[in-house]
Amino acid sequence: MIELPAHTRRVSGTRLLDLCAERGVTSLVDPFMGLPMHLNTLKRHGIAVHGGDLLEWFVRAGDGLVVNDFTILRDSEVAELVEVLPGRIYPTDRFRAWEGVFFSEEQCRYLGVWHANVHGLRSDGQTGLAVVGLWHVLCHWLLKARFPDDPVDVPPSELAWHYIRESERWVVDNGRRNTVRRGDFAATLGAVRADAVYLAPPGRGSAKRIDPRIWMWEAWWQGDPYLNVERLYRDTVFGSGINDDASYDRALGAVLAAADAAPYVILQVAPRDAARFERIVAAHRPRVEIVAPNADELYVIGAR
Amino acid sequence: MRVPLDAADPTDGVFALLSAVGDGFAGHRLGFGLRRAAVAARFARHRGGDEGALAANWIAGALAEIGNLDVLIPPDAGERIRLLAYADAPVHGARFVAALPGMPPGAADMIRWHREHEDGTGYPDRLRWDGIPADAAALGIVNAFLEAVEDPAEPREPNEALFTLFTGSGRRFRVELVRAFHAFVMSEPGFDEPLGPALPALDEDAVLDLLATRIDVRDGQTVGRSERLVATVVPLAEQLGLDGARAARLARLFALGRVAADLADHHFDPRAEARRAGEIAAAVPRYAPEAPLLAVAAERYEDAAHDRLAAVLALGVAVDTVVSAERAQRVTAGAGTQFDPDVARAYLASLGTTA
Repeated sequence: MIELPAHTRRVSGTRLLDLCAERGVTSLVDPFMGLPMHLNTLKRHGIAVHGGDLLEWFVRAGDGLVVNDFTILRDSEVAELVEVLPGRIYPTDRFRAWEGVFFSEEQCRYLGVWHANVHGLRSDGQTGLAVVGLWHVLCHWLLKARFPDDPVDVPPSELAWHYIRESERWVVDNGRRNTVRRGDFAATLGAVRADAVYLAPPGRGSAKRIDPRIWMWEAWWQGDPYLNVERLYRDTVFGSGINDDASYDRALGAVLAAADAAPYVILQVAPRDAARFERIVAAHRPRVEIVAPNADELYVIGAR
Repeated sequence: MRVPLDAADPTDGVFALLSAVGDGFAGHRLGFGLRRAAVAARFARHRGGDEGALAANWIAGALAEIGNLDVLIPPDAGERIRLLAYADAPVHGARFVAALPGMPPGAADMIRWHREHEDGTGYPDRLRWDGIPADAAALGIVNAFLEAVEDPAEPREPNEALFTLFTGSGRRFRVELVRAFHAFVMSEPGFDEPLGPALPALDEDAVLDLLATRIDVRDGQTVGRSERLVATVVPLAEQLGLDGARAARLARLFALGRVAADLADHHFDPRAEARRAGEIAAAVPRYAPEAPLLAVAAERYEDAAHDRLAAVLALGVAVDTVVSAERAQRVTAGAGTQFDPDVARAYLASLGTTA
């Protein structure tokens, strides 16, 4: 059974919205966006949002929830997505490497079917919604493996239907241009200008501790169950060269330097590290403010 | 058993009134919020929470739905617009509670995230897994449990309601918390008995003023009405030798008449509003004496046995719907039939007119 780690980072779009509203911020960029639910929330409230990430499935999710203003999936399209289509030949052994280790034979077969069906969708928006919806199914299965008696049994296609429908409920238009891109922080921050840069910087060695629910979905999207996502981070600013606090701080400094054009930079950090991150931000911004709405949520906000 | 109280009993005062307002906007039975508060606080204690956690959970439980106060939905809104509008209700509620002085840490955030789902499909932030604070996730479980118990279409016994939680275990609710809640309900027979933890005292007048103002702005026809009513009824009451402060409180409590889950904003029926305001006031013992006065505040003088203060409020409510230039004429015409003649005379005298 695979371990599902605790300490999920809480990235709250509504909290960011409060911070933005207090400072008159109307556009925001997050170069390490992850699953961009927070950007979707900000978009829903009229903020122009831009995101970037190295994992492609996060970017696909952003296509569905951040860039996409109106595209949804019709019932017939969801049905064609979640079911085995008659007459189509599927590579059903694509994820056989996970069989008996993480998933059952039926689940691995569905992962192969869905991989093929999603890659056949016509638009980026639809693809993004499907990727997010189906990811919830993967998470459900992994949780079910950990607690076999608790989550109720739901047939795979029904579960997939439910979660895809759930994902598309949040498609909204904010009348602004919103973007996502696959790339490192420099590419993202170099491509867009915004009032604020939001950073929840990855922790030291985080590529080694990445949640299986995250790396597995990148592996699924790439169609390669042996994919090692650590290599995606190896040559990046927070990659394998970060062995101590000093090199980590230098890496963060490089990101803050790249964010120099934005009037505000908002860093979400662990409260125990507040003083250290305040010092780093102070080296790049003349005004630094600490906002701690509760005991385990802290923002270091630098302003020009 | 009741926990000893500090300054005032929170189950009988402004907290209870705010809770009832939340119930009203959410379409729940009046008193649902206080029951949720008691269960949430006891469940927090069951999980090892201290007195501070108990107070925070009680407040979050009592005021979980107060954010609906700021949800404004056009009358012709479709399902999608309603979904997106209600998705912000917990955030409005969190902001409301955070603005009250002296609230225990964490209460506002419990309200903000109590509608999040374990699998990341909740609202407002679609947080997931342990990114949702445990107290907020626990409040979501308590809320769902009591909604199942008090479901008007299909009321359930606690055992049956627990079963409905198990169907959402791992999806809506955290598995470990569902198990803990099951153990809590099974081990504490009085799990939903009223509970009044020690809480900071609130400035009642300030909160009533804030509440009335926020209710008024929900409808273009009632913006600023409570303050206009106060300005009308306080001098009138004092002129008649009545309690001006009580008149001001009645004027603000009259806004409660607009508290309903599905009140279309074009709907304007003063009698129904007065009855609704009376209902909500009656749900809180401290405001229960005002309930009969509120309930008749839109009745005609000749149709109801009026308390003099109620007659003052009735005249205030009636003249507020008339343009200034016509008020003297309308009150003169209604004196003795629509309005108490003494109150009408005093009002006309204040305008420099005689009946």
